[in-house]
Amino acid sequence: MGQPLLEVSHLQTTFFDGKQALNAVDDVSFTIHEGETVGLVGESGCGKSVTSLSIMRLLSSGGKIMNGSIHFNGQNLLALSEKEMRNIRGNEIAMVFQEPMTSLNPVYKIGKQIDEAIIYHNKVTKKEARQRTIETLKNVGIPRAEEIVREYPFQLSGGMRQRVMIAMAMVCKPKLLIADEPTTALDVTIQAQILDLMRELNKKNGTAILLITHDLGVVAEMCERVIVMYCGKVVEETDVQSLFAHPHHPYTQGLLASTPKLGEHAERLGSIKGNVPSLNHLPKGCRFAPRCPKAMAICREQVPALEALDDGGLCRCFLYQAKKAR
Amino acid sequence: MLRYTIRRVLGLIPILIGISIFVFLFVHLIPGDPARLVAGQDATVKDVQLVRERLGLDKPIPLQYLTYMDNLLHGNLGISLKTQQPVIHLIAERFMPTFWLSFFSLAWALAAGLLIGVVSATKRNKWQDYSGMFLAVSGLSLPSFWLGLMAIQLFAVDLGLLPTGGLDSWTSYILPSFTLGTGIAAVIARFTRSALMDVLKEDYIRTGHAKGLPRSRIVWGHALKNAMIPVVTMTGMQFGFLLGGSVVVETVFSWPGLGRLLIDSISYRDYTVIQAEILLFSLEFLLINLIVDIIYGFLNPQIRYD
Repeated sequence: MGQPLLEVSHLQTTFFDGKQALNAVDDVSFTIHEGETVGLVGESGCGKSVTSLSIMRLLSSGGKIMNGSIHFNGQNLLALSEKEMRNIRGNEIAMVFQEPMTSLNPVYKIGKQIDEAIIYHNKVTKKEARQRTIETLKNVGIPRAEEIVREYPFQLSGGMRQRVMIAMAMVCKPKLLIADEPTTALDVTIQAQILDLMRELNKKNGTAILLITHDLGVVAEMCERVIVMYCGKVVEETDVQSLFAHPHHPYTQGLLASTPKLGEHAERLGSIKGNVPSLNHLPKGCRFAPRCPKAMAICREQVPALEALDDGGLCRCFLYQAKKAR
Repeated sequence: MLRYTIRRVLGLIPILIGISIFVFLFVHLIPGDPARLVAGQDATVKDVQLVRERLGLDKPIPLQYLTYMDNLLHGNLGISLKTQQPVIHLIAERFMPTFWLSFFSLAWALAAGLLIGVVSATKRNKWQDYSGMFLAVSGLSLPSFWLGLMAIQLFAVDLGLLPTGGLDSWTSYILPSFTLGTGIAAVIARFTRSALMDVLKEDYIRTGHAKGLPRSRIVWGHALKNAMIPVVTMTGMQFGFLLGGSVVVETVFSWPGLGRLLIDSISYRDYTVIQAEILLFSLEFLLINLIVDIIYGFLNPQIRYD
């Protein structure tokens, strides 16, 4: 497959809250190749969004990347100056956020907000930028694009605003699109439309997508590979078929069991017992052990490593490491 | 925008009528007989009666109101009881010095306040923030008469650069504007800081960064425009108060403004002048509110579409 487009290795992002240091992302490594769609899955607070914001170097104050490297196109993003990083943001790596209602500036017209992304990254006149804006809006399926550019965000529905956000992200033809829960805030019918749109853009422009979601249905629909995170660590990485056919990590199994399936009538939907531990009270040993139905003695003592499985996937669990050792 | 503006202006009409009634009734609401007041304490009952007829105070109140409005629309605000001059002249003479003083004070206060507020908000908890807020708290706590006196001592008496008071040339504006604007600059700085800090936490600011915009463009463009609404409200109110004339600063600098005129007329019970000043202040506030509303419309499109 050649050199990956994005290579995150041993990323550790820490939030400092007074004297406490909390590792929101702990030793996370993964790669994304050109044109690939990779899902990043996990419950709220597992470090998915922090991972994506670390890639963009847009962590809020208090958050700091302590360790690791992020290579994009062979360039270490962590070594770039703020100005060099600005040339990457919105230009080579773009981002779509969860909340289309609040992610657009309420006091600027749609056209202006997309134009400026073009103007800051390309030597173009305002008129050329506007033309490209209208073109991109049409590409993301916005009707009356010529009129919409003169409207304000509050005049559009949530689905339309998310289309605008996607247009804004795609307008400089980035190589990588990070979509952080892009459909969570939308109605189901609109969700399908937005996913279709992203898949189409991926096919047409060859844009790689890092899709952050907690919705396994979205993963099944969109992704080729999946990374499952729990408490700031990657617990499983595999291709999407194996994930649904035979999930390895008990956490992944639990996630799948708590997703309703068509045609099956379960009395009760499966659920993972307990809550995600808070980062300042992490259990000793495997972070999932207290909630794990298959936990063994060793799980409460030692932290398992992320190791390769026979089918090519990766899993962080003693169950499989024990088997292999035998 | 035009429709929004017209709607705002039309909305003023009932308020204007209300104000005119209130101001008209002022003479009847104060204790004592207005005719006796005009005629003087020593006047005979017959004289008072004559004055009452001359002023039309014996006519029914609605008729008096119409007469009052008719005079008002012709620029006739009555005669000062103290100086026997037309009130409109007294007010006109004092209005421009107060207006320009207010304007210059507000202009520099706005420039300095915005700058300090933006720097403090973007350099939160760094030395820039601490020094900005130290200046702001000082500006708020220093009494203006003290600040004015100190400024006179330094710049007028010791250095001899600027006049101590009065209004002779444009240099006369400098010290009073400085004194009046200090407190306002401090309030604007604090408002700007807190409003901007709130806005900087918004999702669309993150979107701006994700687009790769420079920080300066995000702060001065995206963030400040959203943060301006509370600042504009407060600035408008401050301008309203300034136009009423600042008694303290006008006294310190012997400024020929409306504030001192008001104090003089109150101590002399010059009711026609007081009445005219109340009317003027009300109109000024109305006008400023209208301007503030129009600026809102520019700042927040949602307001003008509602």
